[in-house]
Amino acid sequence: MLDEDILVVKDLKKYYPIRGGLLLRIVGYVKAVDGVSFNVKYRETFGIVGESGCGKTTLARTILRLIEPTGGEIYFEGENILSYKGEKLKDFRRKAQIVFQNPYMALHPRKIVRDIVSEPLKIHTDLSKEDIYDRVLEMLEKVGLSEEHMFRYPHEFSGGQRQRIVIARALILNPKLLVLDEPTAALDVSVQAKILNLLKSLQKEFKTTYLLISHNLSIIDYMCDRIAVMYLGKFFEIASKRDLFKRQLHPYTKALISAIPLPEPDSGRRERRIILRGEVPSPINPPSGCYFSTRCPYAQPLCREEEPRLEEVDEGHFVACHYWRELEDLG
Amino acid sequence: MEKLLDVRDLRTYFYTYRGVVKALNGVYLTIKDGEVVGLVGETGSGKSVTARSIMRLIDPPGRIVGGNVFFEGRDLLKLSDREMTKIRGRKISMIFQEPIIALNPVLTIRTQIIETIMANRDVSVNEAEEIALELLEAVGLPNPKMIMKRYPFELSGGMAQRVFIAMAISANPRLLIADEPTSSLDVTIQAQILDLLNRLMEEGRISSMLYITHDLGVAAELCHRIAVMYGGRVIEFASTEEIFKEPLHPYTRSLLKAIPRLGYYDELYTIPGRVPDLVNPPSGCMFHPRCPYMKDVCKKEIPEYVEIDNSHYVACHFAGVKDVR
Repeated sequence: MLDEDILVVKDLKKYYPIRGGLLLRIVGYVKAVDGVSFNVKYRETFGIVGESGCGKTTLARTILRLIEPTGGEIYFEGENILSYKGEKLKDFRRKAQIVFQNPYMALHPRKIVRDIVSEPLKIHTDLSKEDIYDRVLEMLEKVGLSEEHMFRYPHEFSGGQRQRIVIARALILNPKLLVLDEPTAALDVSVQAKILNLLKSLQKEFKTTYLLISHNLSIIDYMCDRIAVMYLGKFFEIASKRDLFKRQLHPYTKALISAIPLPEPDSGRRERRIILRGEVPSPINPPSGCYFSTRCPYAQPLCREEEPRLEEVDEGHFVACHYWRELEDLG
Repeated sequence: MEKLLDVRDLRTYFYTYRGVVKALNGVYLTIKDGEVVGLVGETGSGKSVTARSIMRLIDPPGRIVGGNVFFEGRDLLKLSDREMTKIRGRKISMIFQEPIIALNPVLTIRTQIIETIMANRDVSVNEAEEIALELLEAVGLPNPKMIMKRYPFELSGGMAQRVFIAMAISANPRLLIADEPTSSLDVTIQAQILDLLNRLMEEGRISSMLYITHDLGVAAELCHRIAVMYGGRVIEFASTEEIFKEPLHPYTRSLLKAIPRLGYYDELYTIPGRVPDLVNPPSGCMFHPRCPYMKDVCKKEIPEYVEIDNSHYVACHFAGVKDVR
């Protein structure tokens, strides 16, 4: 464990039991997060990309202990947060905050903005009313809102403005880690650009570490320093952004990147695109061996028998594939 | 190529308690035979209302208040309801963003697809069943016989969209209107559906298409021409190549600069202000409060929709002026 890591996750698991039969016995598990290990450095933006149902949101919430994990370890600033209780846990909540995907649902509809944004201060500090007011106003101005907005209700705002309110609430305690769960998925392109710019400038100002969850690789590329590719509860590849876009080692990463439609006509991507067969298998009954073997264009008998381990094959570049060397030679 | 669809000055208003929402303020749009036209724009720009107005599927408090929709030379807005019913599904069909919601939840796929085929073609149940199996195979569904027995909730989003596409092309329509058909799907499944639509075009099962999307990347890949909507109007309409390489309208240019692109890490361009309120729209050009090139005339006069270069249409007072570009 290095001092430069704010977050270290080891073999994290979250299984949801499936109950069935007359006595509602546990008949199986949905393995939403299935043995994920990674570390996040101070002040970087770590991205997790994956398709719906791959477990990225469960992973984010488990890291914040909004969901209790089934197994594994989570170290935040060197301490195992899974042992936290009471005051310790409350203190952790102050240091790690989250921005949810849907700003229409993340705000209390019957509270005014001042009360929404000041709530973390009331819980975690003993500032006076006047000081709270000043802090809220200062924070709102930083996210591009003003004093007149403080006394309005969430329904009076557009989606982009609501996301600004959510960001203000998340940052008002100056957390060290901010989890961003699809922060712009519900927004239009022109609004998305404003929110992404805002998040980047706030990160510089507050020196926050970001953990960004998204299904959109263009956004991940724009925002992140390092990226993990997730599929059926597992990480398939972790690399720096530059490595990942230049040299994808896992066939799923290759397919994912090739599937992005680019706003460039005649880029010739359509012809070179890797179209995966079928769909993501059910996490209730995942395939044997490598979870990707049912859709992988290069799958061999070994892939169906033995699960590949995530191994570091180059400095900071991890991949979980039996044949990454052979695939790289193929080009 | 002949004009298959020619929409002129189409106006659709919604009469709400807040006031009249002018959702469409004079839309012009043409689709030639064999062509894929993309309709792009942000939420509330009028993309879906345009599609629904063409199909005459506007329910109260909405009403089509003016304009023409010429399809194969006839104005659809002048047809009787009975005549229009014969156009829908047979001549023009539609696919939607949420295929699982668009299908009837309590009927099997078999019932729904056979009903659709028999409504539009003069065939027996057995013939319809055979056509259905062939279509499900054509849209790339493995084991069509199994799929026929399923209910919509038993299908994934990608499978349900394939079923919907099969139903939409069952009567060999002249025009397919696709309203964000891949927006709710994952990127690898989206790639499959786009690949399928391309293949169906090549096979001649889809002849012409109006493809609505907010994703400029999807439009770039699929469409021959692209119409950009803003504030209930088409503000630019040109070949895909020209829209991306030589956009003339300031809004189109701003929009293209606002998308995050792979390998680009500078600050993203943002458009100041917000989308117009269609109950109290800005005077003159709807984009003028946000436009970096705004002049006095933009506040006063609504710019006409005119052809600037060969088949490049723009609604901007300064689109033809080189130095303002």
